[in-house]
Amino acid sequence: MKAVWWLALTMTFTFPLLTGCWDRLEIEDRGTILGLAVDPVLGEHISNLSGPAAKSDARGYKLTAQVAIPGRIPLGPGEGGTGSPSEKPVWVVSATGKTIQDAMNGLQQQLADKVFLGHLRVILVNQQLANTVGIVDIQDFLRRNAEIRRLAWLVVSKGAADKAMEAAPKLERVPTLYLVGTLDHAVQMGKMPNLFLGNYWSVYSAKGQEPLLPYVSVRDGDVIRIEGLAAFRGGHMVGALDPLETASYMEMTDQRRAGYGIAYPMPGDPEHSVILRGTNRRSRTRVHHDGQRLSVDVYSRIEVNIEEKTGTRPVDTAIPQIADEASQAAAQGQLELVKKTQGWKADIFGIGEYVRGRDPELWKTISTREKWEEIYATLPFRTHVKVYIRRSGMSAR
Amino acid sequence: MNKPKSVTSLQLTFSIGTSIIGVGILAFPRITISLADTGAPMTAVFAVLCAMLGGLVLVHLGLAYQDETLFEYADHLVGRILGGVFLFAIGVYFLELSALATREFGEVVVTSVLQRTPIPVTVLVIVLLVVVASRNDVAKFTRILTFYMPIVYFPALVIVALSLKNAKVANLMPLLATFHDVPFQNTVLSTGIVTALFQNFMIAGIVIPFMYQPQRAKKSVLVGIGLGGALYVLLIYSALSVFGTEEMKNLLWPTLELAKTAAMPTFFLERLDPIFLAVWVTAVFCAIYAAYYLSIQAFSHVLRFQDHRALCFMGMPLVFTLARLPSNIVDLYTVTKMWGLIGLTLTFGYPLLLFLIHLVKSRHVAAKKRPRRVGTTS
Amino acid sequence: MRRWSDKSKQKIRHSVRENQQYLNPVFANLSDVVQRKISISGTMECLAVYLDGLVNVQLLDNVIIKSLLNTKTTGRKSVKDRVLDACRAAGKTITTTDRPVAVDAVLDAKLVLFVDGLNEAFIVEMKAWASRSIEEPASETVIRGPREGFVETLRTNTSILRRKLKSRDFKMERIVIGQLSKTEVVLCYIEGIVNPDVLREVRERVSRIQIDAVVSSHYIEEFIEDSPYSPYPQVQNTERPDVVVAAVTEGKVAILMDGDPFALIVPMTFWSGFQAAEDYYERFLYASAIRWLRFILLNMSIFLTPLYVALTTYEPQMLPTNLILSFAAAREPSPFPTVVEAFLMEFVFEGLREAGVRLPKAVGSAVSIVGALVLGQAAVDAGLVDAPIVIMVALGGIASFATPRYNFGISYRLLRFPVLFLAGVFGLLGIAFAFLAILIHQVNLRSFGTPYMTPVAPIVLPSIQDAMARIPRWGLNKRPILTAGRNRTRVPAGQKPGPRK
Repeated sequence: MKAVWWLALTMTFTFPLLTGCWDRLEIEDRGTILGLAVDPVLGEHISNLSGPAAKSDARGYKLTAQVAIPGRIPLGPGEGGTGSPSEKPVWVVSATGKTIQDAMNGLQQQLADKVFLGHLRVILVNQQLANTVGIVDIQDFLRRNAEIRRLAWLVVSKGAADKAMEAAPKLERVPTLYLVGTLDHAVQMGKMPNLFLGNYWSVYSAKGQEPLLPYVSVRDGDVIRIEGLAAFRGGHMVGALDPLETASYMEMTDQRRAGYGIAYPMPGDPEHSVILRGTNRRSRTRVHHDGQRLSVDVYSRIEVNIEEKTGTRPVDTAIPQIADEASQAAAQGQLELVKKTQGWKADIFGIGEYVRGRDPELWKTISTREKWEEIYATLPFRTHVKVYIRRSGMSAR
Repeated sequence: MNKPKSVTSLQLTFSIGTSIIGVGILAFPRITISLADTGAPMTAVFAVLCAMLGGLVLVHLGLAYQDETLFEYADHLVGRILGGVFLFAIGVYFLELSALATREFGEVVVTSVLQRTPIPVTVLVIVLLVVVASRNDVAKFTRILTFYMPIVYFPALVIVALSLKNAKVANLMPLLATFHDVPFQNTVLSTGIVTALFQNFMIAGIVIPFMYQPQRAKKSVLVGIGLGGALYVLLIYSALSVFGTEEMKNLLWPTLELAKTAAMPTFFLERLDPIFLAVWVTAVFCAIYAAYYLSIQAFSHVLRFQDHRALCFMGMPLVFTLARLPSNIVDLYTVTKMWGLIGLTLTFGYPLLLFLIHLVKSRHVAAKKRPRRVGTTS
Repeated sequence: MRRWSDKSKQKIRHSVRENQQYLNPVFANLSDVVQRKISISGTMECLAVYLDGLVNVQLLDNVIIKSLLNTKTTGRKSVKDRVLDACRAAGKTITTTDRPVAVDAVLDAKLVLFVDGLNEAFIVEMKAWASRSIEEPASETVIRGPREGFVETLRTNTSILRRKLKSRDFKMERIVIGQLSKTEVVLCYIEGIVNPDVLREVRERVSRIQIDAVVSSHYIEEFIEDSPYSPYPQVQNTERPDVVVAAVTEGKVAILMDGDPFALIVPMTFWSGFQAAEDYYERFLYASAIRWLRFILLNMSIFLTPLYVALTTYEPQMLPTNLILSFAAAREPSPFPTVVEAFLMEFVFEGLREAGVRLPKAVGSAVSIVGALVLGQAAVDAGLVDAPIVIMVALGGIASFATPRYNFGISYRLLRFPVLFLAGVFGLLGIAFAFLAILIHQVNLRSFGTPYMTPVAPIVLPSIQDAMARIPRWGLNKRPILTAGRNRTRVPAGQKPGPRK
């Protein structure tokens, strides 16, 4: 029985010690931020809560956050009436600051509940900001915060980012979830590589590769459209890839899942066309070093299905010609993409990483990011594409 | 001391395999890669081999003195006074090791999960668990470690499997960086640091005399270190393939980030890192437990205690105080690194010393006996 | 116990009258003691003493008295031999010359016969008392399998067992405990299969018990446990003879006692805690799946509510955004923190369960209706508690009912509260701490020398498969190593049915 008394005694002393529940925070007491938009501050006054020492490359940041309002989220068919359609289940708040955290503090000032970033799914950055001051400071803030998901989306928005926070798509009650769905589905359909935040960090840190981020635009206040990919160099956005170039990029970087439908002229009938949709892709990159210069060969093979044809010419006899023409066009498209990126000096293909891995002795002579950018700008590329048409749908001709 | 035979060879294997997985797995990819670049996984392999060598020495000694623990035969070999001094050093060493592990655990928890919970509270809970568990005898000690083995290994393997989706082979290249551009001393240092994480294999020294079949200890120790080592190598390879060397240097705890990158497709849990951390507590517990147990056993042998139980609670405030010493996280890692490297001389050097003395002594005995033509075995 | 100062006073006299004079004060106020004077053919005076209702009176009338009447008074046989013959015809008979022995025999439900002229008493065993008939045990029902269960009468129980094990190696050792109750306790085991160390330990621990009365087998259980403070039962109990037979053939020891239909089985392991008799009467694939299901439910019963609390209040980033938003929406009107709510609901749930168990069946169902409908629905509607926590608590409660052994289930039910507390303080980490602590305790527990988690910790390779799955009988060739003694082969190998056999 002595043991029991001892146990009781220790319990009475330790329990009050433990009942601090220091980190307990009920979900309804959290200011759950679902989406965050970062815009440059142009004319207005910049609030500065963190003290006058707060400084960054930008004049200031304007954060616009989408905060979930749990009470307005319909729970199910039975309680559908709780929130009238005009009431959005999110609340859009914005604050300005000299740095991101400074603006975050400003945001917190406006929210009664503690800002919670664990459900932050999308961070939109204004293209203007990405072009000028870059996103180095933004990503540092994200990296340091343990709540941020590595699998969140960091997205560049064409035009003002805060508009995307206020957009009210019809398909989903929560706007951010709609945006996330758009991006996720684009990845699943093979329209976009899986470029989540963690991927950006890894590539950004690597010396021989430059990162890409999804590039979206908001139109008419409601429609969110994927515009392609934004290319970065040294944390600054240097240009954008349109959807067709995105397809070429994915062809060259061995992204298996293909989903683009690309139109090619019908052989012998320039007034009509066929649309080919990729199903499967493979590619290999080889870097040759002939003692003085480097050169790159990219071999890709694409399996496609015929999705549509216009005109009356049956496709069954034309399949080889179509394939040949598509192969040439794709190879040409890849070369043009390379030219474009070489103009930016941004090695989005990771050729530098390839060199570092396969030829460490050579890399030792390069070793810095700047040097590699120079080499990349003049690197000769050869692209070899082979398109295989596998199926033509339910139609035999 | 009578030693009931109660430990199977499988238990020894699993105990070693579990006890060497500890707090270190979170940070070691960063530390080694910043030293040895893509040669780091290779240094982890070297470290496994080193630990295996150390283990072999222990097993050899254990087989020569099948009924005695490391501490007991050390007394025979170097004498009680010198043995006591060494043993005291080992006790202090493992005590500090467990204190550092406890502190590192606290730091990880306070940074990533419970930001506002005071470190002493979380540390107190884990230390309390360790202390209570260390009141057990060797049979229960191995049984607990064995039981936790799947709990420690399985989640790590799941994380590795799930993160492979984001792996890039180019990040691993060049595979043999060790032989290219990494300075030799960095390779050695990196190997040493990883080897220092394996030091809990010393428990073999106190477990072997309790085994049903001590002759199987060699295989057990090798497989045990091999299992733990394989997990280390696997983790560093997958972390490297996902992050690449440059990103890895930015990450405080790459393995935790690896868990953050892992997402289970079509699963109701969106993030696995808190789960990983929760399970990682088990690994931490096992490692601290093994180190603390070793240290308590060493002290109770030095002080000639009949039973180590009395010491268990006395060690607690010590661990607590030692854990508070490093002033910040950078300091903590510097101290851990230095302490681990210093300890290598103790955990590897001391058994080696004993082994050499044993060789000399047994030669001497054999030479003495030869004229009398008495057949001696072992 | 009464002490007789004079030794000669303890001897039985020749005269029935004198004996009766002695017995009268001894049995004063014992209204159930019958002293019947029988005169046989006027030549022989007898005194039959017995407890009313515990002795087969018909046997006394029809066998003993009749055969005494029929035998001739004259003849070579002495009076003693004649009485002895008559008594033996009715039941096992011994003679005694000691009065206290005779008195004890009467209290032990035996017939004691004093015959005039003999300084001996005849103690005849012809117990017969009203007993419950053999029924299907209510606590462990099966769909397929034997339907008989133990009853309160020890000898009925041993007879059921003996019918199932007709081997002379199947021993039933008798031990009497309890100064007042003098309860008969029987240790059942199979010699050669039982682990002798375990048997010695059981025998010693049972005979060591000093108590006034043993009413239920749990009295014994509390005295022979290894760790009395542990929440876990370390002794298995069963009402089913087939379970006892299966256990003794595995080398375990069963303890039966008079007056309680529950047999105790030692050593118990953790895994036998959630094995039902049914497992062994169904197809092994199904039974194995069910075993896993139970294991998962068992863990759910303690970890589900704490997990919900930890996930929503500490790690909401782990749940899908949509889910967490609906949780938040559901929680909006609730005034209490989630932990408090969880404690409250668990408390209410336990209360409902307890009320349901103790009340008569007709009222019991009313309790569940009130609990489920009025409390659950109304509390949610009123915004006192939120719906998710009610769902979690109910799920956890149902999960705890899936444990086939009641005493094992309640130990887990109790653990839910400390786990919930830790989850409330440390979140997911607290659950990890609780998990560690529980496992440390489980691994340390022993039941009669056998580690509780055998064969998983320590790993016993051939036996571990039986804990993980229900191995088909032709594949389970060896008895468990740690419980069984020398004879380990159980089923000769090579009996897997196949077309060629």
